Amino acid sequence: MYFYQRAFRYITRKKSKSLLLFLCLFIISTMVLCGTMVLQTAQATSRSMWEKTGTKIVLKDQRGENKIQTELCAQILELPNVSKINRVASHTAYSGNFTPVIVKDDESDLNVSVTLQAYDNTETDGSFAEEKYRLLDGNPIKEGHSGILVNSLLAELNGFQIGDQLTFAAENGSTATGEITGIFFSGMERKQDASIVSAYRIENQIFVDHALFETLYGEEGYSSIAVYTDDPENLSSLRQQIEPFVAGEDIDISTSDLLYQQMQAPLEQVIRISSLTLVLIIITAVIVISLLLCMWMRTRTKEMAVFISLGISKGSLFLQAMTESFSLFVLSVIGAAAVSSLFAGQLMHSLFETYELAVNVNTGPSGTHLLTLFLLGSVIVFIAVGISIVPILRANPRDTLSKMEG
Amino acid sequence: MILEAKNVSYFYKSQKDKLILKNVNYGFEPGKMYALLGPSGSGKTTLLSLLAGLDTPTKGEILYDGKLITARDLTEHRKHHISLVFQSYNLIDYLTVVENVKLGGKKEPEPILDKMGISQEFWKRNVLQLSGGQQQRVAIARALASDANVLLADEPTGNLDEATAWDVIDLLKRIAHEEGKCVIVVTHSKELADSVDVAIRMDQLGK
Amino acid sequence: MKMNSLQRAWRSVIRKPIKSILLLLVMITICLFLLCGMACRNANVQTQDTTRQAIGAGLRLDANEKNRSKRLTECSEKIGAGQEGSYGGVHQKKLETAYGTQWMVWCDNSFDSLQISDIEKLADVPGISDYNISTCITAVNPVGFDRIEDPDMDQTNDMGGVVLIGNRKMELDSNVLSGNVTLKDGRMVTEKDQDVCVISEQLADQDHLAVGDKIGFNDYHDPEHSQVQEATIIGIYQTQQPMSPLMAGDTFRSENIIFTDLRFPEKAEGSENDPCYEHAYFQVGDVDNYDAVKAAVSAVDIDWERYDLIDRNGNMSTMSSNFNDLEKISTLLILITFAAGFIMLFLIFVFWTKNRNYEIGILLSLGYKKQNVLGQLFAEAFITALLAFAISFTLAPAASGAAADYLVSAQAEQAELEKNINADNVAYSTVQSEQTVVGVDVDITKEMFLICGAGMVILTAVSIGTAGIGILKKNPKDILSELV
Repeated sequence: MYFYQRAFRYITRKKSKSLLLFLCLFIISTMVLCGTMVLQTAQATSRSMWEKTGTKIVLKDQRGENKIQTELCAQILELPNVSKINRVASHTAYSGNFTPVIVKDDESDLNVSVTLQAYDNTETDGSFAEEKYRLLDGNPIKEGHSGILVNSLLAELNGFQIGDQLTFAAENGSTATGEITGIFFSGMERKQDASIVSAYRIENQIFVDHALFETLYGEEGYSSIAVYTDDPENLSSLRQQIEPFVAGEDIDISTSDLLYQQMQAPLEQVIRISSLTLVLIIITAVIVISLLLCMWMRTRTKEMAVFISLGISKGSLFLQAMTESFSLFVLSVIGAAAVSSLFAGQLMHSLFETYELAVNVNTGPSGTHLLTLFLLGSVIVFIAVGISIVPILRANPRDTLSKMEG
Repeated sequence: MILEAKNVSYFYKSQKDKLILKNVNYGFEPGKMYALLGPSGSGKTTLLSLLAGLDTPTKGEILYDGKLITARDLTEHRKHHISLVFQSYNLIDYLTVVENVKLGGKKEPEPILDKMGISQEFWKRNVLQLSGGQQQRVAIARALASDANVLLADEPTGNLDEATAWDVIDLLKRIAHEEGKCVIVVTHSKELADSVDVAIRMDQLGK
Repeated sequence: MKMNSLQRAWRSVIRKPIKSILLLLVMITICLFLLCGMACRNANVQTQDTTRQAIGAGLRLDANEKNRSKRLTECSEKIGAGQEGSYGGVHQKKLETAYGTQWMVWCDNSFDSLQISDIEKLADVPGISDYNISTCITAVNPVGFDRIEDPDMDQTNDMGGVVLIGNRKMELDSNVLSGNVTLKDGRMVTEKDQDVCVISEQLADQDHLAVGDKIGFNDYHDPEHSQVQEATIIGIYQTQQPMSPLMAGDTFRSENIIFTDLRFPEKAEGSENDPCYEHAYFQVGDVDNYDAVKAAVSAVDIDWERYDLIDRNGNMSTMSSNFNDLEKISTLLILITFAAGFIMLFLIFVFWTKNRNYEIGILLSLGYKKQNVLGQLFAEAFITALLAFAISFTLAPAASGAAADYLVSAQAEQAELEKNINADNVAYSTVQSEQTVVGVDVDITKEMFLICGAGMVILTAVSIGTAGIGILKKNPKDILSELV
């Protein structure tokens, strides 16, 4: 009889004992897989938080002119770890259907103009982000939320409300119309000197989206762009990647990552503690499995001695024990994989808002994790069985047999 | 001479002063049934273990067919030269009757079981469901299946009632006489010792 | 005389040392595992809290614009239409010009300013850990130093000044909180300071100014005659991005912004004792209580029509879902820990009990009662458990200490790395440097010992009971014949 025949018979005929070992291995595999999935989620959560820290690189034209080219934006968006960019451009414009706030006694063009500030997002950069302006009513301009933000005094002067249409005209004769979506206020309006030309007055700063801006001026470029990254840790390397693009131009590059710096240490700690828990689970699993296998093998001392007395080689016995444990282990991994992909995936999905980030479309454990579990587990089973069976095989079979007889 | 003990001495490593065997010299011949006789602690089971290659003597040597059993692997010796029968049968509980006999190795189990008087209905059963006598027969069948020339039995009848015990002894005798094997039985039963070809008292083996 | 189950149990534990040691090891491992798991969860919760606090949250108080117009109208009415006069900080004056009679209406700071008494009331609300007041951006004339100018810029429309922002506590100024303004040298303004300022690095470079120097300011409307106020430079700041100018012109450019103590701007512009407080910022001590603190602040009896209370917890709210997830993660991990620990222990005990079939059969055949035999198993398990508790509770502090060391050392390493990277721009604000190493409390508390101990004892009883009943249901003959 070959070792695998004996192993197979042992597993099938000693059902309750095999079931116990199987359950133990199964529970531990499942726990480890679940723990890994949880840890993955933790990492995804922290990544998502990194992204929300608003860590950015700001490129700014030194003269405030709209000289940053659209091609550059496209190039930057291609870079890895760039999550989004916020383009800023500004230009004076003539009013179409409204009157700017004019205080200065002057007949220059600038004194009958307003300044249009185009943003992809008014919340994250510029005067709103710096709390110089605040929205009294309505919503900011954001990706997917276009519109126009006007100063409350300008709105008051013209009797504008949210929802009203505003028309602007450019020097080249083109016009553009948009809807007011927000009204803002600074508090500094009255502090302005009477000598300030209209286009520069706070009341006449009008925030628009890029679509409207481009209707008036085409894609001429941007005065600054904020490049947001989802990987703040490598901010400096991203900066190094961007620098060659703007070499030789009058563009300042600066970075901003305070919130990341503040959160980085404690958040990493959270991940580290979660990993530690997982390591703890694995260490305990290894120890307990080894001890269980030891207890197990000890109960089979006599059986082994009988086999030895029948002239079955120790190698064959070792292989038999290995085959038994190993096949149970394989079964348990398959079971754990099935359970964790069937239920755990669903559970994690419903529990965590960021779980999708962790495993994308794929629910359940990934192939690499299964493979790691399998390989690591095999090594552990190998070592544990080895450790537990060696003393039995090395023991004098005569002693074992006589001990049992007695 | 098939199996021979030469100047064999044995003591436990932990109790060096207490000799179990001292300068034992004896040769066993095929076709005969021997009984090792003596009180508990006289070293009869030890001698049997040494002959079986389950242990090695502290001094001296065991020869099989004129060659040292340690010349090759002890496993080889256990597998091809000898077969063992125990007082407590030592059947493997997760194997059926037939499979237990198969463990012995070379011969087909069914004819041997037939000869041992184990009827076919038991063959596929779990060994634990058999009576003591039946279990011992299966154990002997397993020993025979290896086709070894020497059969060593340690108190094979110790757990059996008298009638069954005599059955088993007859069986062993037949094996010795009809199949020409050397059968060595450890026992403390006078009756058994009287019925074998050669009865060896342990105290005569030189201690 | 029959031995009682305790005596048998003791002998079994002592005389079968290897078996006992194996079981003991399993129990110690699981015990330590549970304790460490609980300690880790505690540490995790604490650290999450630290993270939350690091993000910070607060409330901003601004003047309500509609109320201002309303009050202006009311004051004008009090003065009376067509009358010259002043009321409540509003001034009305008739001007005879070439275009005819015009009325000039202006307000002094007291009309626009936030009321200091109201601010102080709000600052007293429990849960507000600190507060700041910022003055409006005040344009003044620089005396004895040159401001930064764009040489290509036409300065005819500019007032030729610099701007001052007064702060009660500069650390809580919005520019500092956002991380844009950091110190390069010296220190920030605190509430105890008087006549001090923090200037930009560009200004310091251009005018060769250093910490300790004094610079002067006066009213830009009348730079020749108005009184000069001096302030000592106590710090030099740098920005990551230029602060966006409030208005066009070099007066408002980022480099010309000077942070001062709270009462300095009014002196410099020549309106001493008439401050203009534009914003007040209230820091919420524990961001978890943000909503409660906000409710408490809103409930303070002040004239709320004058004010807008603005949430300044944007980062908190965008990350709240992540924090929820992190919390669930630590809960799930402890659940997994407990489930794994208990199931493993259970299976081991079942296995351990099953292996004693034979012995149980013998005892039953000797006429011992089933309860008695089961009692022995319990007693053995408890003896082992007691030993396991003793050992693992002694080892636990060491284990948790090792975990804490690991966590802190990895972090310190990281902090060291950061420090090297940031070596060129030295002084980070105090808020930040505190966060580089987060102390973790991985201590094991009495409650944990209790939970762990009780859990193990209950589990031991349940698992032996389960496994034992299976055996005890059978009759001794079957048990004995089952084993060779």
